[in-house]
Amino acid sequence: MIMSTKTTQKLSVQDLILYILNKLEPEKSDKIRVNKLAFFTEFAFLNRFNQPLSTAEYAGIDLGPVIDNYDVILKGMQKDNLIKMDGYKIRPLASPSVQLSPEYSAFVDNIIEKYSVLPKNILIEISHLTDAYKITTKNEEVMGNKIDKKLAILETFLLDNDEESPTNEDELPNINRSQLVQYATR
Amino acid sequence: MPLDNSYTIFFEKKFQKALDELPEDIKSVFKAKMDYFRSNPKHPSLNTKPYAVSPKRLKQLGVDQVYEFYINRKDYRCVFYVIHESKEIIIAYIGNHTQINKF
Repeated sequence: MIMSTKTTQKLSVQDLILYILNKLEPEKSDKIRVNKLAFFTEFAFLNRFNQPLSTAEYAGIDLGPVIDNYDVILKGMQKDNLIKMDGYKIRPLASPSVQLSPEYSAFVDNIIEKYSVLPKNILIEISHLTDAYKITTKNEEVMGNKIDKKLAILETFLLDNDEESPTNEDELPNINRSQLVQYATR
Repeated sequence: MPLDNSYTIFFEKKFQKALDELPEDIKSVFKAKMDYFRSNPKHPSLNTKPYAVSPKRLKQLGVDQVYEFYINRKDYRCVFYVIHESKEIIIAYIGNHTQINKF
């Protein structure tokens, strides 16, 4: 029997950035896109596998969720010759030092591919709609707080839900209207 | 007709028992999701999707449409019925696929 192997090693934030940059076409390789893809990928991964993809931390700012201290991190990476920055454009000069398992890389690549084609303003808009961001910023009233990764459990919409529903329509339960009560938060 | 927060949400009394039997973490997420559901049944974080149900079955159920949203990683989902004229949403069940027969 062939067993699937999963890496238990988390990517460093630098490796996560390099992983994403190496997947992006040059014209789509910019600070905002990298930040959004990192957040979507990380939170979708957490939601799917119940473990973090990377050591990156995220914060809620007016641009939406971003890698916490991303500017400092990017400047450090440039200093270490891992990336080259030209204004908002970033290009990778290295590959990540850690390899993801085939299962994980397939999942991550799918998320990157799905969201990288979207314009930056749409990526920002989608990121503002995430529960993790709304909760962290108290509906955009408080900026700068770190986003608790446990909130990823709410981000099911980041995943592909294109599977056919397994429910046969005959299995849908009949409703006894005389037994209905109004739903209220308790 | 678009779903919005003008619809009143109902469930059958027996639903509470099924809810009580859910794992604690699922219950907690369900309550969080229901807060979004009440403000907007099509909130992006719910990923609400319509079911393809035949007109015959819809008539049997006495509803106009059937939808579902996922509670957590596709394992647990909430199926609900919609009656547009009376602006009612009826939570039909919550659980995984194997639990549907309990309802």
